[in-house]
Amino acid sequence: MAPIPKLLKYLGRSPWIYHINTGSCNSCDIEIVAVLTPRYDAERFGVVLVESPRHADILLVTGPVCHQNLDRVKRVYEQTPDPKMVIAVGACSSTNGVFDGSYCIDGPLDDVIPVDVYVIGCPPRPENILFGVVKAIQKLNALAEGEI
Amino acid sequence: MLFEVKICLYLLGISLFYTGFLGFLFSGIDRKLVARMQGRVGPPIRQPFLDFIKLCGKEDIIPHDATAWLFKFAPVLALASVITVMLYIPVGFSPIFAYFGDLILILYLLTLTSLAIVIGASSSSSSLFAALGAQRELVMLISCKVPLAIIIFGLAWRINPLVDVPFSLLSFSQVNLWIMAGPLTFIGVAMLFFTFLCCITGELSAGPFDIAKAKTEIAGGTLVEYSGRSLATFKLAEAIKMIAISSLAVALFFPMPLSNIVGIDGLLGILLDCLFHILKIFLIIFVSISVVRTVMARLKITQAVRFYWFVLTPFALTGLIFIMIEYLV
Ligand code: SF4
Repeated sequence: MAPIPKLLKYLGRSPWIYHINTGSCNSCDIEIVAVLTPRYDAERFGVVLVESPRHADILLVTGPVCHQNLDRVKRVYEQTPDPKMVIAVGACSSTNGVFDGSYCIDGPLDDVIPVDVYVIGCPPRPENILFGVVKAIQKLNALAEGEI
Repeated sequence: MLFEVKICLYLLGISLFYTGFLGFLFSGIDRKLVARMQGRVGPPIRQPFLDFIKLCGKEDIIPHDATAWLFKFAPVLALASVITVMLYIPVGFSPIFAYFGDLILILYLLTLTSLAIVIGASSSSSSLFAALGAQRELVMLISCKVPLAIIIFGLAWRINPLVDVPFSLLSFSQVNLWIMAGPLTFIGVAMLFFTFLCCITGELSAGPFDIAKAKTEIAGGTLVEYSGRSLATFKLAEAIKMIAISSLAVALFFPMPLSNIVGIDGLLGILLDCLFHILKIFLIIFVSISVVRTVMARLKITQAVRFYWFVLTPFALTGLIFIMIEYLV
């Protein structure tokens, strides 16, 4: 990864998130939407769900990487500007979960792209997803200060 | 000559800092207010500043198929045109170029900002989503500008016999539109003011008119391929445009300064006027952006055009006819 400029001191205060579905059963995606509702309100930490990977700092990936999605996941990862974090949300993207051994999947996610944080659960609770985001932000901050 | 160029550059710098600060402050307040109205806590008010600093530090990707120079040039053009607009519009004190430009120039420069986005998005980023967004941006442009032009030309026509240069913004600070004639004029001006508020929402593509940048349908539309510093420049330009167009509304309809009424002049008076101006644009932004953004969902592009052309344009014309009747009869 390229060296991180000083301006990124505030990266942890405005993490923009892009959500990729790589063939999940949609439960994880609904829990991600729950994170943005008034009850959990991720926007108070500056978290915004952005519409294009070009704007993103953190990629939230759900689902085992099914064969149709393999190319797309890699391309979205490459389209995201540095520095970036990848969070694998759900048992599927962390370990293949219930889809393990299926003929049509190329997962788990860390076989395809580098993963920084794993959020487990099937589906994970919104608190857990927020906790994963906080972990990713901590890692970003550590990167910005040159600790890793 | 060189000296004048230097002064112009300084003025541009001051304009950029002051209006950029105001713009980000108001977008922060807007985000906070929308969150509160939805029952959320919302981001801190300094959030847009943090976003801007972060974007400046991120990697700036130019897509492989893009026309690189045009792609990099479009955000600069957008920012330059809004900063230039701010030199002609009063922000509490009289504008720096008060004696040069007129309303038509301001209209042109405001159009240029949208055109810069269209250039950057459609012709150079080679993304389909961006091209679709650019088309919608152009459609919004032609639909918003019709009522806006009616308001500006109508008001300039009305104050023509009262002042020397009807198209100058300074002339509007010399007359009080609301009480210059009888009750029919008051109603007419109120209708025009309402139309202007609706045009602000469309010009800034906020809330129901957020069609060119529709998140869920066309993946961010015009700005889809922009990242890093170019995206930050676009965000800054949009924030300043918000200040520019709401200041224009203030300058047309409520130019009355506070210092004359209270009887303070000098530096303190200017400061007081600035604060009063900030209060006025806050009210306008609150009504025409924050509230509308909270209570309404996004329209389709055909509905937006129909609203501007077949609802708002006749509405503005009616207001204009009210003003005309009292003036001519
Ligand atoms: S982890 Fe569970 S809930 Fe999430 S996508 Fe996989 S099967 Fe569905």
